[in-house]
Amino acid sequence: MPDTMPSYVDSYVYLFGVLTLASFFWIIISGVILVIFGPDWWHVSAVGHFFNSTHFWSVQAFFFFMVLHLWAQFLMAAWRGGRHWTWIGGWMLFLLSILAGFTGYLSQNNFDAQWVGTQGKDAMNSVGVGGFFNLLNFGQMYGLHVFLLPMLILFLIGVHLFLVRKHGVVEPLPLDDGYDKENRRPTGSPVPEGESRP
Amino acid sequence: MNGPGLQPPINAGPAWQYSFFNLSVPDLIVVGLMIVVFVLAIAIPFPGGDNDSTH
Repeated sequence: MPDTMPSYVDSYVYLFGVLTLASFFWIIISGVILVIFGPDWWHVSAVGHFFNSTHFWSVQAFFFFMVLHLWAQFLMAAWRGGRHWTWIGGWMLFLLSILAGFTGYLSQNNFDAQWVGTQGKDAMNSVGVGGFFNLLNFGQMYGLHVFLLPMLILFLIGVHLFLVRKHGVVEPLPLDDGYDKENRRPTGSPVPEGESRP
Repeated sequence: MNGPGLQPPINAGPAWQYSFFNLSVPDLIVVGLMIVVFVLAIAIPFPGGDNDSTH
């Protein structure tokens, strides 16, 4: 595995990934506290409101930085150099996170949750999975939200980080300034025999 | 009809609407903020980094 940071990572653009990870850390911390005390607590007590809000705002930061991370990696074509599984894994994380966020809305146990649940149930029925996922079933949605989806996300984050460590950060795209530095001539002009690159 | 004290439980407030696009004001603020943060992250030099642009 690479053990030094390449010079091109000296940019704030490369911080969006770790900011997403830091947000996820706070989502887990606040979520575990919410799980311990339950809806009666997070809707009623002042401390419950605080941790409910912490959980909510951590999610906002999580998606904010994840999408910025996605923009950055897309614009630098970060799937190059055998990094396609890092890219695909990132997409899987994004889609799973949307499901986790959605089941989170359903787990709020308030008017928002009922509204989202009744609207979403029609969508589930229309794509034929309404028999498996009942969005109005708080127990099912809560279970998916606090156990299955976080475990999947945690596992995929582990794989994602391992792949980033294994392959290193993608090198910047080559700068096409019309001059081929390696062969010291304008880009695209023929290289004579015996003078070519090694 | 509803009395003045009775409001729908969900009211997202004003929204920008064009064709099927519908973005609430908070949505627009977040998207705008993301673009600003992204541009700043590229534009602002990283402290301690080698910002020598000659190589």
